[in-house]
Parts: sequence; C-alpha cells; structure tokens
Amino acid sequence: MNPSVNHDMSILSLVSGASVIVQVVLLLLLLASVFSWYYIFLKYFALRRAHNLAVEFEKQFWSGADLKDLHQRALSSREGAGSMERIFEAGFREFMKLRKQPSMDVRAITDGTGRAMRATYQREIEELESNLSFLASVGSVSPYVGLFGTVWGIMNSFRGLSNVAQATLAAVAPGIAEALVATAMGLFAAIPAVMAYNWFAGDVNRLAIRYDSFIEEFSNILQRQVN
Amino acid sequence: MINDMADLASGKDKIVARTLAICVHGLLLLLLIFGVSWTNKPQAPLMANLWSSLPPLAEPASEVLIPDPEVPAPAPAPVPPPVKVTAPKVVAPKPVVAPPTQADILLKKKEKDAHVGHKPVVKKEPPIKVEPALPPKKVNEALERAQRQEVEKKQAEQKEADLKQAQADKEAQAKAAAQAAVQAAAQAKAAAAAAQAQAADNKLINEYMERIRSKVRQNIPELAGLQGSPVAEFDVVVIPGGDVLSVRLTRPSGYPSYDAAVERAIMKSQPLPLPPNPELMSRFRDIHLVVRPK
Repeated sequence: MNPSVNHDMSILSLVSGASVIVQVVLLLLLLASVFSWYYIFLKYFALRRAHNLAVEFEKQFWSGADLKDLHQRALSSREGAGSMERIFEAGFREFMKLRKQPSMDVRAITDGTGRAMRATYQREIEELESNLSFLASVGSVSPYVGLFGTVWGIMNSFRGLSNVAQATLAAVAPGIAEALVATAMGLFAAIPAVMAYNWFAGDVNRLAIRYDSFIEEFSNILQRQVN
Repeated sequence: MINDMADLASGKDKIVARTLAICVHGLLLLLLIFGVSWTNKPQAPLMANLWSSLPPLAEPASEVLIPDPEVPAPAPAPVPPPVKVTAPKVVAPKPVVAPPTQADILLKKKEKDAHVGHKPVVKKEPPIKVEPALPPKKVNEALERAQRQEVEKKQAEQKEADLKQAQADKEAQAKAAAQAAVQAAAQAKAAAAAAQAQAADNKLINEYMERIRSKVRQNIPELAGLQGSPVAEFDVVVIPGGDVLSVRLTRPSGYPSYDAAVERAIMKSQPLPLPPNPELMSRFRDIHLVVRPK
C-alpha cells in the first residue's frame, strides 16, 4: 500500500469504524459464537457423563447382580442415575406391576415392559439431543449472516469510492477489510458449531444404539423370567 | 422430573461451560488484538549526525577519572573542556544538602557550555567519584533518609492495598445481602403465584378429565343385555398429542364385553382432548379413567 496513506488497521479500529449494520452483525455473531461454545462444553460434559454412566451400569448389569437389587439401587440413587439406569428402572417397575395382575399373559407383560422402556428411552434421547439443533443452526446460518455484513460493508465502501475523483486501492481497501471482519466472525462461529454438531450427533447415535440393544436384551431376560 | 434431576446434575457443568466459553472468546480477542498487527505506521524518522572526525573522547575521560575532591565546591569559572564542566552536573542533582543556588548556577553554566556529543560519556563516570567527595556523614544521612522514605512508602502502599481490599469485601457482602433479599422476595412472590396457578391448573385438569370421559363415553356402543351401571376402571398412558400409549383394565366391571367395548372406545377416542399448555401434560400421562355407561 502507499506508505503515505496511514490507516490504523488494528482489529479494534476496524470494528469501531465499521457501519452500524456491520457492527450489529458482528455483535449477533459474537453472541451466537458465545452461546454455541457454551452449549458445546455443556453437551460435551453431559455426553461424557452419560457414556460413563452407561458403561458403569452395563458392567453392573452383566456382572450377574440380582435384578431387584439393581432396581433398588437405581431407585435410591436417582440423582446420579444414568439414562440406561432409568430405562431399566422404568422397565422393571412396569414388569413388577404387570406380573401382579392375575390375568396377564406373557405377551402382554413383555409388550408392556417394552413400551415402558421405549417411553423412557425416547425421553432420554430427547434430553441428550437437546440444544444440538442450536449448534446446527448456528453452523449453517452464521456464515450467511457474516456474508451479509461483508456485502453491506463492501457496498458502503464502493459508494464512498464514487465521491473520490481518482479511484485508488487505498480508498477502498480499509472498507473492504472492515467488511471482511464480519465474514471471519461468521466462520469463527460456524466452524466449531458444525464440528461439534457432527461429533455430538454421532455420540448420541452411539448411545441410542447402546440403549436400544440394552432394551432388547433386558426384554429377553424378563420374558425368560415370566416363563 | 427428569429434567429437574438433569438440571441438578449439570448445574456445575453449566458454570464451567460458561466460563470456558468466555475464556475461548477472551483468547480469540487477545489473539486478534495482539497477534494481528495490520497497522502500517510509517517508521519514525531517524536522526543521524555525521561527523567528519571523532572528537578526542579518551583524553578528557581519563582526566575526569582522577578524583579531585573539590568537585562539589562551586566551580570557579567556565572551564573550556566540555567534560570538566559537565562533571558538576551530576553533583548538582545529587546532594540535597548542597545549597540550591550553587547548583542552579552550575546547571546554567553547563547548559551554556555543554557539547552534545560528550554528554553520555560523562554521565556514566561521575557516580563513582561523587560519593567519596561527600562527607561520609552526609552520605549516611542521605542513605538513611532514602531508606526511611522507602519504608514509609511501602507501608503507605500496604495500607492503601488493605483499605482497598476491605472496601471490596464490604461491597461484595453488601451485594450478596441485597441479592439474597431480592431472591427471598422473588421466592415469596413465586410461591403466591404458584398457589394461584395450582388452583387454576386443578380446575383445568378437572375440566379436561371430564372432556376425556365424555368423549370416551360417546364412543361406547349400545350393548344389549347390560344390567345396572357397570363400572370399569382403566389406567391409560397418554403421550403428548393425545395418543394413547397403553390401556390397562384395573377393575373389571364384571361384563367382559362391556370392558372390551370401553377399551375399544378409549382407543377410538384418540386423540384425547388435552389441555393446551404443556406443563399440565405431566398430569395427563397416566390417567385413571372410571367409565360408567351413558
């Protein structure tokens, strides 16, 4: 650039010199980024805990412990219980209730317990998936919002060019640089959100499969108990 | 309820997540501000003096090195070699005891006679010579004074810091107290509102239970051979949206055909009428239906 033109191009001056719309866009993107990072960390902790609890419960379950003991334990430690433990608890409770009914055949009992576990399973999965849609929408929308800010800024800077007799690069460059900050911010918000979304969606899927197969196996065990 | 428990468990996580998110953005900001230096400032102009020949530096320096005890005494006349004149300059600011007028005179003289090129050389050397020139008593006094001043200064700083700390503590306490008060008030208000809402909810629940019952009753076909009014009781599990997940007969009426008809009627009544606000949904998950014929 022409050394005689002295533009202060630090980030702060770029942002403070930008037009109001670009500033609003930047603020929005910053908010989106802060929230998506917040949810990223939150989901990360939640999924890690869910996974650990599932592993722990499976270990307990397959170590041959008595089902009633397991049920008691699940009831007593409700706060620390994992999703799988809650599914088990719901299924077993329903099973006990159904078995007390005199006029119940095997099929009705297994169907009932299966439904009870399904219901809990749906709720648990819904809980695990909560906020993931926020990450997805931040990931897909914020680049466009950033692009909007950039286009607006560039429009302004070209309009300014019409007032100058001689068009030089130095006259437009700062405006464009200002405007591109918006795109950078949009990408900064979007990239981690998309990555985290894919990552977490995979995690939730794996957990869902795990719960699913547990439900099947547990149903089989209960059916054998009835016979 | 599940949500509540999850909230309890993840309360700590939330705080940690919030701080981490803020940390990430603080890092980004720091990186942008300090890491990216797009400022293109023109280099400040450099001044250079060109000398055709170096002035004789070594000789005057050695001259000064020979300690002359009369240095603190007022130098008599403007002395031609620049170094000798500049020597008093260092003496002037140092001794606080020395009469100020003399120092002033010296300074003025020095300013008149000083040569730019020689200043740095002189500055380095005098401190060694000046101290012996002062009477040791004075030196000690000055040192003591300096030490005392330093200690006092430190104490003052410490006091100030303590004061600030105390103030900050007080402020924090006051803030916490105010917050607690506000929270208590809010809780009281919330309790009152909750009681009111509870009453309204109960009314709504009763209304919708009646609606469900009447809808089911409408779907029960006329049965021949039914005597009296048999009562069948069912446990119905409803999912949001009004669909029936399961129907279970808890108390048969004694007429199996009637029980079956009622169960079919319940299934036929899907979707069951449910209150519009989802908070009440929890009360409608497991409903106990007592059905009498029309």
